[in-house]
Amino acid sequence: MIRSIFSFIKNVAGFVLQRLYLLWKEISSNVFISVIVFCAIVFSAASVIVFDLVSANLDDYIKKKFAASIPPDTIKISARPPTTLLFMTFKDSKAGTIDDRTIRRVRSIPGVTMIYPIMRVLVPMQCRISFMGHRYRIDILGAGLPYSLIDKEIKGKEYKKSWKKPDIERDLPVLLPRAILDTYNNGMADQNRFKRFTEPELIGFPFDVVYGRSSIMSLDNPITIRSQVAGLTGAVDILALLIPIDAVEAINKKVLGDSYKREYLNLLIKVKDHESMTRTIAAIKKMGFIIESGKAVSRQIIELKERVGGIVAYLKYLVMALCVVAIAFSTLISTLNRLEYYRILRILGGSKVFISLSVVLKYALLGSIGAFVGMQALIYFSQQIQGFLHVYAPGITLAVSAEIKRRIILYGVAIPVLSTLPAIIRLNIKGLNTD
Amino acid sequence: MTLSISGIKKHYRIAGSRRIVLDGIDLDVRAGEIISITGQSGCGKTTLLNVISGVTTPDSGKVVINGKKIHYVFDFQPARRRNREIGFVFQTFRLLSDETVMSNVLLPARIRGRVGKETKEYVNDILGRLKIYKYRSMKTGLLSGGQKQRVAIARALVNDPLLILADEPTANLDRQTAIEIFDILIGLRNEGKSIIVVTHTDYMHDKSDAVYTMDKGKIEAIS
Repeated sequence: MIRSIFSFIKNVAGFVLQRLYLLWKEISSNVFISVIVFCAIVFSAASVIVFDLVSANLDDYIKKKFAASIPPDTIKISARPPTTLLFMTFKDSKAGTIDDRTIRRVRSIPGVTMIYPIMRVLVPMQCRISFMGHRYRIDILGAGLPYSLIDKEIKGKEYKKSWKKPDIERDLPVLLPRAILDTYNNGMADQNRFKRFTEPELIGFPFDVVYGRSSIMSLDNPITIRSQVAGLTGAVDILALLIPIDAVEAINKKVLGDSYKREYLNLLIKVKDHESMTRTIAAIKKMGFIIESGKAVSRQIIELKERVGGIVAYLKYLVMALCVVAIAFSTLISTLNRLEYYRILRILGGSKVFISLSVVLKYALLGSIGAFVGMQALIYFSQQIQGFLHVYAPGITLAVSAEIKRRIILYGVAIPVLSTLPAIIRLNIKGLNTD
Repeated sequence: MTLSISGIKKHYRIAGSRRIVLDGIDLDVRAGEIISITGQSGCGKTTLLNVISGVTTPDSGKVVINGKKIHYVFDFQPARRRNREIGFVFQTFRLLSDETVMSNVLLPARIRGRVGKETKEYVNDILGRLKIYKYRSMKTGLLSGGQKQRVAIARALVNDPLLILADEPTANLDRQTAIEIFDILIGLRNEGKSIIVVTHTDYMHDKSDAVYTMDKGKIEAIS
């Protein structure tokens, strides 16, 4: 019994070893073609990463510099005019506060597709952070956002769940505006020799928030809530801690008691098209509210961003298409060169599937190694020049995200495997017949 | 019966017209029997060998080797049986010229997944019997025609098959070398192997147990 099991294991091991040997023979054949395929994949992987980085930086630049983080076709309204220098206001709101009645009125305007209310925390707030052995207390502002506005920015199912149904007796998920991270990285971190943070590193960062107390004043019954960073967002241009809107209401009620009356800081109104935007802006102005942005967002800039983004994407796909064509020709030439070998292999007992699979595996392996090498080379060079960019072009980041890395490896395998299809089809339809 | 084929039909479509290559071929080969097939070029001799080995799928008919029918639907089964039960010898040798004699001979054993000490000893024994042992580390591209054909025969024998198919194995060789190759095949017959040889050589016809001729897709015994 033991002898037969041992013999079986020996046979299986021998079979696997011999298949690996034949695969190795396949890989080590036609070295010149293999080098061409490898270089094409390295070049393609590096190009795709460059285009992805250009696209991401362009997006970020437009958001920061022009669009003030307001998505196109969105109007932001407030009850009070924005404050200006010396805290003087130039315009008065005639409409009073933004409340549920306002939301109903706005919803009745034709062309309005979605309304996102933003609620302000009406009590003083203070953040208490323990970081690198130091304890910080910072007075902050807080604003509540609905889940539908920032659902894509929240990382992790648990955070998403607790954003939808927040419980102020337990930990609260919070979002940070991206501008705060930029301010820290480009301001505080370098000057104080602190660690620079990337977005993924901040996810899950814990700290306490005291509601009802600041360094200036303290209410009778402040509450402390443990908070965790659930993500970063550019969805609103408010420099405040962003928390679930239902949690804001619960905190306001708990700290202010009976004196609390529900009202909103802003409404973000999404409209169907540009015509609807003009019409809605006019109607809201008539109601007496202040349009903070919306008309300020230049449609041309958004269009320009989309066009440049489109060109970048087009160039990326062009490089990929050229890579596919180059590899397809290379594999076809290589396969036809080795046709006699494949025919001999088939006559001696190799099945069509085994022969085809060894060709596909060869190029899948070359592709994955090529993509990895291309990616690592680009990461290395980007790290070398990132230091200069902090000085000469602050805000531009060359960090390659985990998602891009995954995508590159996937492309690296998929492109050569798909490129072998013409060769495999040729091989199976006619190539392996010896008649 | 080592090989039994019945009602094999095969046609090709050449330049739009249908050309029948095998038209109801029946043939039986017993263990330890050697048969010769002769016929004009293009009469279907090679196609018949390809159908027997499972490389080519026939339009109809069946091939039974050692009591088991060959199923052509999936390529796995014919390939496996070709590897274990059939040895091939070709007119053009079909060796890997950049590889050594040993590497060429071991290729069917590698496909089977068995290249242990025993196999290597067996290969050395075959190479010795075929008088090419001293060339085992030499690339086959450097060998003479007769030596190449001996390597091809050694390769055909490595998995100890029941049936050997030889497609004009001496067409590229001089008369003396051809006779030596035939004598090797006759020696294999004496070891119990069944052999089908496609040849036009009288020497082989005289030594065969049966001689068939093929014409217009039909096969007929002539001696």
